[in-house]
Amino acid sequence: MRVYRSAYKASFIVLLFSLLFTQMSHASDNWLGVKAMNWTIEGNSLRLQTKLHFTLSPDARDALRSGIVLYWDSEVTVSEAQFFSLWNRTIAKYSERYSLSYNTLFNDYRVNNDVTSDYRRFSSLVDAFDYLENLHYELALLPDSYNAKCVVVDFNMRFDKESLPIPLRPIAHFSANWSLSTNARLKCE
Amino acid sequence: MRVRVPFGISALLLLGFIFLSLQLMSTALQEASPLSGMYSWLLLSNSVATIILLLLVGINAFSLIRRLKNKEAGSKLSTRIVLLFIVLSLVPAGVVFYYSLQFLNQSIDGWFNVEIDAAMDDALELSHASLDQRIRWNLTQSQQIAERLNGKTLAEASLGLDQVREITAASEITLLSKKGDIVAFSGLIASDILPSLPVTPLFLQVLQGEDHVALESINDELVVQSLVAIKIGKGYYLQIIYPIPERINDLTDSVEFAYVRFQEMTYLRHSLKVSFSLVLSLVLLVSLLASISIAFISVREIIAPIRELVRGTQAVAAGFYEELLPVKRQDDLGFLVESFNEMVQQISRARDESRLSALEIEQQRAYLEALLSSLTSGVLSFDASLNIHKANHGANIILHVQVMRYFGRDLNDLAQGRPDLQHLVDILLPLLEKSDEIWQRNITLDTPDGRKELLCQGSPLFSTEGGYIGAVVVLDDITDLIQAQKNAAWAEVARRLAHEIKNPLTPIQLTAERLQHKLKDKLQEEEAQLLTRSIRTIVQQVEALKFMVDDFSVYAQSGRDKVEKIDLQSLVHEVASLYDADPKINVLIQEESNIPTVSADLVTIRQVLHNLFKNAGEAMEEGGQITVKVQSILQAKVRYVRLAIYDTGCGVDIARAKEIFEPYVSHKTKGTGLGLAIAKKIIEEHGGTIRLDSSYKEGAGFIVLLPAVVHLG
Repeated sequence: MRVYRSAYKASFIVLLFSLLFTQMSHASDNWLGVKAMNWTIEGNSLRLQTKLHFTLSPDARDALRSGIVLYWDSEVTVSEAQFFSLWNRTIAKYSERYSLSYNTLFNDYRVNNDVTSDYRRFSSLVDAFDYLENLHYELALLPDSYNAKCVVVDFNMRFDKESLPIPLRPIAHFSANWSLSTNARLKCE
Repeated sequence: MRVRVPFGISALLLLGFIFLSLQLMSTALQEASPLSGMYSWLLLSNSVATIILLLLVGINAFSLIRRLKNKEAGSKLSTRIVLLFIVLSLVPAGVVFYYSLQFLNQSIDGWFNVEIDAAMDDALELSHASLDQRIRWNLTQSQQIAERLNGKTLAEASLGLDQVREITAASEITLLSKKGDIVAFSGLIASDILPSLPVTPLFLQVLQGEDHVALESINDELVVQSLVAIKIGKGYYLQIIYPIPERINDLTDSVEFAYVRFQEMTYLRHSLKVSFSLVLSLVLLVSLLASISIAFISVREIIAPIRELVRGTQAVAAGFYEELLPVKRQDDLGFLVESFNEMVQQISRARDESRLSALEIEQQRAYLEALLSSLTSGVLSFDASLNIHKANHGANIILHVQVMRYFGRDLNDLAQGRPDLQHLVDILLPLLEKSDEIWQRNITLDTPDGRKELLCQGSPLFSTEGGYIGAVVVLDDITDLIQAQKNAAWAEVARRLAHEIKNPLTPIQLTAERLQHKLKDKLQEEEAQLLTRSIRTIVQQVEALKFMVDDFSVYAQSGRDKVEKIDLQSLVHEVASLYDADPKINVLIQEESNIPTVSADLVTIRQVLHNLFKNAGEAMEEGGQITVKVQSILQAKVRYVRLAIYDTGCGVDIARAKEIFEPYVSHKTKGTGLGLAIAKKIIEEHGGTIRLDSSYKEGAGFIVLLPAVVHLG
């Protein structure tokens, strides 16, 4: 099409889209962040300890207090590093789904692990955050990867915006107040 | 083979997909819809589709603006129709959008009024109050049971648990040690072999001497959990779990659910508005963009034949009639194109006929022009205002002026700067103005080439309708004709004189001489002398008469008996050398190099030179200078050898200058008066001209032009 013959116009459109997506992925570490992450390999399993910085934006707190359940998907991926991190081979993978809710009748906060059906009640939001900030994982490694020279551990705590009520989703996708995800990577030295 | 889908169908398909996607998004907006999980993707896909539509519209708008700037055919009409489409779709859609948005916001706001909010709070509070009352009553009940068990042995207390449970209608009674170990347990359900134990913090709280009672949820059922200390031995603790009646449980759940749902809806109030507004805006935007896209497509379809028509009109304007426009439609525009094609064909035929006519007219005009140009007669035509309209080459030659410069101007302008033509103009103008019929007049004109006799014939011009449209004048230079007539007359006179006079002269002379011879000795001295003088006079006069008759003979003879190529320069030098010998006369010859030869009779041309040199010499009785200039000139595309002879004598009286080439015209006392007449006759017989140079004032000057021999190639 002739209109795209002009490189100037094409670059302008690319810039516009870039700005749009930059806004969408704005500052995801404001409310959640990984403070520390340690892992050890013991035998055929990998133990991972994460220390998170876990808070909620005012919008998210209000939503929670209004009875909206918040969901996070945590995923740990262990891979054996290959050439310049290209074509890394996954040797272990584990995921969990947490929900945080407020119970009006009991006036408490509840954290539920959907995978393990672990169910905990907390009288305050801070206690619930304390629980979520300290997560432990134990992953069984593939048999042929026990002696892997270099292991890369990726931790991803993703807030599930699609589990929010429908009217809230478009706002959650564009608002930094709903950027409640974080991730981190540890790599052998 | 690649199948190409028309742009219109592609656009319609895209619009169909977009509207389907909008419908799906609208469905997904409902919580219970199975599509709710795809809401964000549907929103994104609709947004992308809208952007694509926007780009399509932008491209079309850009293209239209460019065509408008280039002033392409149909661009203005396209712009108007598209703008009309936009206005027609924007105004109602905007109004509907505005009121829909208002209605939507008011409806959502209507869901949340203060009364409902207060009722929900009150219901929740009532639910809490009811449960609190039951909790407090269960705590009192637990404390009373603890008092009854105080002081009993552990075994008695353990055995009495079932009884106590039945009395209190509790679901579970558990006797716990200080370490939290289960000492005794009584449960309502026999299969429950393990009690629900209190959480550690709660147990620690009771250890510190505080009784505990709280509402708990066990196995998704609401219960009241109480924990009190009993004084048995070292001290034990009794946990009693009271079930909440099923009805109260259900009511509490219902109230809580409704409250939470209301809170959630209250929180989502703004988001709901935003979401609905977003969907509504998307629908509006897509509708608008769709209508604009359809407008562009429709306009393209509508304008296509008009553009073809404009292109065809431009082609016709540029003179191309061969290409006919394709008739692709059978509607009004198709009919228009067909009519246009017919019109073009008719114009083409008319143009061809017109061209043929114009060609014929042009040929006739060219023929007429060639005819007029070839005429030696000058032809002047005048318009109705008697301004000069046309003139042929002959008129230029006769009048010695480029008449074409005066086209459209008055005849008087022709005479400006040319006083010699004023006489002609003065005669012609009244004739042109007054004459309604053909007229004829002889006019004598003094031109730089000498006196000319013109025969002027004029005629008014009338159009086919009979209206006066101008006049035409034909000028015939009859100078040569008259001169020829004169020459012929003079030649006849000369011939007769030579015949009639010369014959008796010799007997007269002989008779006189004989008479003198016979009577010389018979007469007295005085008488003899008289006779001698008389006889001498007779002989001299006879000799003079012979000389005069010889001149007449020469004049009567043809000057071109033996034509050959002669070098005029050499001839001038030869004749000039004779006159240069006279010490009183100085001959100066100025000549160009490479003078061409002339085709002439050497004897007669030599005689012309002699006559001219003789004239000059006789004009300078006390001596002077004769200057001869020999040049090669181009006049009216004809190469001439120009010979000019100037003397420093007494010159020629201007009043008599017009007739000096006539026989017997001479201002000198001696001579026959035939010298210049003979010279003129010889030169004209050679196709040349001789004239007096009136611009020379220091004496007399004559200019002779003789046609040069041109070597072709």
